[in-house]
Amino acid sequence: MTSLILNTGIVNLSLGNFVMWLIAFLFIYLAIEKNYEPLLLVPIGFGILAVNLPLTFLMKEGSGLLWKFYHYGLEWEVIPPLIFLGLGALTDFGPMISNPKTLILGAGAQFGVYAAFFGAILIGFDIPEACSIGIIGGADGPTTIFTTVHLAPHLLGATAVAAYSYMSLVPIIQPPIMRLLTSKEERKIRMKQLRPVSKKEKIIFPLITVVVICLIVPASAPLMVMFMLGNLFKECGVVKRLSDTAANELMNIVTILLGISVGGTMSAEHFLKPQVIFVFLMGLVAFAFSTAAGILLAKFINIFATEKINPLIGSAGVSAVPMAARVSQMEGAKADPKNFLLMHAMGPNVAGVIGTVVAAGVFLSLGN
Amino acid sequence: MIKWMIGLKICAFGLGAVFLCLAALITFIYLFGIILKSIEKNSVKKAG
Repeated sequence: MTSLILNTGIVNLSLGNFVMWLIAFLFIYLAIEKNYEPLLLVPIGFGILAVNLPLTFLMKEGSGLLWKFYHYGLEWEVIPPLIFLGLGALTDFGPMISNPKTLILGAGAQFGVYAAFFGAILIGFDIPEACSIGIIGGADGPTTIFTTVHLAPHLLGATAVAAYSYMSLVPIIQPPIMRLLTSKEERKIRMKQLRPVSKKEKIIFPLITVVVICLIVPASAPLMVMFMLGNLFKECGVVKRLSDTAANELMNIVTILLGISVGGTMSAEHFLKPQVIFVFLMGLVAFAFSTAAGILLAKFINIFATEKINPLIGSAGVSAVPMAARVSQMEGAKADPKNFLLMHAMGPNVAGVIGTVVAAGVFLSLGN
Repeated sequence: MIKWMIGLKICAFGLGAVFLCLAALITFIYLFGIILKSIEKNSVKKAG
């Protein structure tokens, strides 16, 4: 009888487990009630709850169910590239091809990645950990996970949750920075209507991009190849079934596995550490710097450009597609209700995804 | 100190790679646009 009682989870519960349950319930509450990244926070929250049930051994190396999802899905680099396949099938590069100089804004927004990287070094994190924290500034969940699994797997839960949390908080974090760095006159700038982009251009773009980027930063290939393959599926128009599967069913399946695997890494003994607070703090620094750098770069370009760019679209360079572009549109509309910035902001927005993947590739090459 | 030096190297390479990649893409997009336009012009001329 005593042995039976000792083998129940109840007597093995720790205070840490209770704290993690509260965090799990908070995530599930935020997802359901506040609609904050529900597709991820529901499985992550549930994964946290499950992994903090004592003696379930869900993350036991070799046999735990969640460990298998984590090991074969994340450690084997399967899930993030498959998510990128789906993202590619959902992405329209038309606005970016139509106004290629907005690509530079996607690069500018990567400054925040390096601001947080140096911040993390200053706090005392080692180089691989600093790389994993810095990449949060790219506001790209799968890229953050991909980088962290390689460089600092013990921080996976914290970096993944920070990245997705800040992505869902884009409408709260970005507007004050946008208003602080721009004048009302700048926010009113109207941009020329984008030219239509031909099908040929849209088909050739993923082919050129994959060659150019993988030649310059080969370590970014797993994400970039799948991203551009998904986009080619979408644009070529002859593999609608594959495109639909990548963008819907497959994306949904891997999202479930990703969420529950990330949640599975967040056991009390791994997550309840002071360094997790610093990860969140640095993630916020990264995000704020990325937003500011994108806006300032747009203002810098305006010094030389004959056709002015509305600096509000610079903040969309932080990836977080399409939320960041929507925020640019909303802020622009507040200054001038007839100003439509959404499509202009989609250029830096998708360029930001490419920029973050390149930054991650460099971290993976040099961060070890 | 060594950590900071490595950090600086990663930062320089990282930002350099990001700007290089995106600048290369801008160049290719413009080049392809020019090529496509000239092909279309030629085909219109031939049809005319």
